[in-house]
Amino acid sequence: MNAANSTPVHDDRRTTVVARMLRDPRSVLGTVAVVLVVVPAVVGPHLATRDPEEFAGAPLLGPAAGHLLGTDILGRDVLTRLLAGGQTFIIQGALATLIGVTLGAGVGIAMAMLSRRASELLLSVNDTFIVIPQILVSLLVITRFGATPPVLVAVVALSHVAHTARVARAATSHVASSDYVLAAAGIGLSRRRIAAHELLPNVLPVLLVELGVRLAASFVLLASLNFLGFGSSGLEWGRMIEENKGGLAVQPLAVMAPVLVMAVFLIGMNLVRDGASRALAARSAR
Amino acid sequence: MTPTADAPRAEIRDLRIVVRASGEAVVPGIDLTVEAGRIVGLAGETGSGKSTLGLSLLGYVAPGLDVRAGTVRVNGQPVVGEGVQNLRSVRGRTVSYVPQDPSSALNPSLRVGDIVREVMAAHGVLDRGAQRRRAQELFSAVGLPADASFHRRYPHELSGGQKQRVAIAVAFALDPAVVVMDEPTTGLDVSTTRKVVSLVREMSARTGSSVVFVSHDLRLLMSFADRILVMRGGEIVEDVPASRFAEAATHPYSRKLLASLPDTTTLAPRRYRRAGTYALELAAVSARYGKTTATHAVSLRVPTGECLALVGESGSGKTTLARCVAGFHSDYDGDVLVADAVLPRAVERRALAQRRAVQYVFQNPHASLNPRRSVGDSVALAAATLGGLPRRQAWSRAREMVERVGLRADHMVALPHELSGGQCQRMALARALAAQPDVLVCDEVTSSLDVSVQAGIVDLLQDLQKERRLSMLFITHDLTLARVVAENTAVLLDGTVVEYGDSQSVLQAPRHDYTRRLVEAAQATHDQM
Repeated sequence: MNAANSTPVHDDRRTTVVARMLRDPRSVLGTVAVVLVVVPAVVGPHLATRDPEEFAGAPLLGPAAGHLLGTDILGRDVLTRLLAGGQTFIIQGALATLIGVTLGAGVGIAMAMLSRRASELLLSVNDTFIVIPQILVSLLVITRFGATPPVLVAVVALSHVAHTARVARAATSHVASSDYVLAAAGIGLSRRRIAAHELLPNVLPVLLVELGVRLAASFVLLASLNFLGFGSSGLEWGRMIEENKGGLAVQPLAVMAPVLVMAVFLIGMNLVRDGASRALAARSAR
Repeated sequence: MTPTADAPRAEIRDLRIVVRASGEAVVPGIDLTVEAGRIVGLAGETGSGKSTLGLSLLGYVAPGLDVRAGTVRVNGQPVVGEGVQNLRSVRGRTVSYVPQDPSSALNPSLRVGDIVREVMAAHGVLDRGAQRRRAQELFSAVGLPADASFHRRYPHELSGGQKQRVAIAVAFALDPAVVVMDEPTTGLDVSTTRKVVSLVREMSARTGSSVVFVSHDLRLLMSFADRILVMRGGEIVEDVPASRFAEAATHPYSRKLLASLPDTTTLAPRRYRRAGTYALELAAVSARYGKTTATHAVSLRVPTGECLALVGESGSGKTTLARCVAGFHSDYDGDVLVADAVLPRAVERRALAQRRAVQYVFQNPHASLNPRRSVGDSVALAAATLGGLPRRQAWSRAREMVERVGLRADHMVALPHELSGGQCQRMALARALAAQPDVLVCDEVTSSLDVSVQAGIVDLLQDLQKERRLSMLFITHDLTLARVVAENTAVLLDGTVVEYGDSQSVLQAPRHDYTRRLVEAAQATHDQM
């Protein structure tokens, strides 16, 4: 039996995904864009030489030596505020996404493991949540409980659950009907172990892509809430846009700077997500 | 160069195709001439380069492969090498293609009439009346209903055999010089396969087209091809007329392929032992899918230590029955008894000992092993859960089983996709054995494997059965195989048992018409040898 004795060929799957992404100019570009925004945002508050609330000069000054990006409508330094406003924004968005996607994945996998009738019933309830406008629900909750960081994170996280649950359910039902899941049931594994060891590893690639999509959606929702005045610190990029829109004609940089930073960040993240899903798809195709 | 009637339809000269990344040769340098009107069978195992060679006739090279040298000409027109121009005008008209899986080959959103007309429109037959007449002609030639309502059907409304007929009609639509068929009968059952190959013969005779028929089924090729090429490691190791293949094939690999065909004539009749108890009993099992009934009060018994073969075409309900036994399908009336005790319907509700007693081996070995877990872990997991063994002992039980099925311990760290189909099926078998079952349910365990690999698995199953007094329910569509492995055979037609007795008499003196047809179909392919 020469067929039975040939030695299997090994490959390290993790490195191939990263290697594939490194070969793809789009994901490299995306990573650079994300790093360019995240690093200054995280270390920014420590770099700043002045207080973001300090009145540094006359209102709506153009770029000059003391103020690289000019001053805002109240005369505060735009660059300082830009550096200070990113940290909470990025942390809140990332945290909300992680919580939301984890919850959604749990709900979705659980739905896929229920009987068909129960699963379909829950799915229609779930779909009802999807069609409710997220921003309205968020505004309602924040008005009631206040725009504290935990409330903001919770609101954004909850906005993802229904959507992620739908995606996770579809991916899981596909995996759940495969022979190896039947085989696992046949050897007597509990439902919990089947979910954790047979289903989860095999829907993970789909969930990773979903995580990327949700991450972008988190930041958009968070920025919109900030723009509407619901921020936990009053110092967010979204808030800056709103504050300075009156001076747009005189000092466009006060508005354009946060807009550009967010655009670079979101586009970068989408490129990374796209590259990752391509690399994962190429892996599972082999 | 103007092709004349006798000129070769396809000429491959010194073709060399390599893997771009590693430079490893898939086809190291091949010459092949296909004469007009001939059917050339390309046999060989998965990975032998037979599909790569077949596809090169269409000027197609799979992504990741590179043509390093050589030329391919079809009807005098180059499709690979120097002077290739406008491949699209050649494909479909001069050389056409029938792929393996008809359901993925047909555009699901086009009606079948439009699918046939599409290829004509692509090659300049623009008059809708002419297209419709030709489509009608083709459909009746391939034995499909020619009425207008059939033209308006969608692919999902057709059976597998009908879909493959549509694909064949498309391939012959413009009387091409060469038709390349890549394993076109793999997904079809025995009698449909017979009909499809005789159709291919007929269409080839009618249009004068040459056919290159890629298949791993040597028996099938011997039954209808003019000439058989055997490929191994990218080389053509055998090239003889099909009618004389059995005598004229000289290469050791061809002999091995021949030897691994189950031979029905020399087989000693199996003795029929009357055992005291039944390891497995099905009592009036009627399985349902929602409102449709898949099996009608099927009653079967497997005596301890014996094997019962369940034979039938796809859709006959044989897999459903097997799944009822394993507890994967719980919507049924009647009872499944193991060692005289009725099993709960769903596997989740069965006691550990009951789960251990019945183990299931799936048709597709790659699909039955978790792709993200090493195969050794999968085997050990079964030993740990069902055998109640601690980790270390579970692993050593797993290693014992892996070695028993003819693999080495170092295979255990591999992931399923790193193993071949045969190796994977052995692993799946090791997993089932690790549970130390009383009843083994084998669902078409050999049908997705190459012939020589198949023979190894069948031998292994027979040894195991003897060695461990295993009782087996062996599901297959292959009557010949049933006779080799099973003491008893039951034939299933549309969910009803039409024939049930010891394998020898079922094959020699079939009582039901349907069994007779199956036996004749099996005999007809066999007689060509």
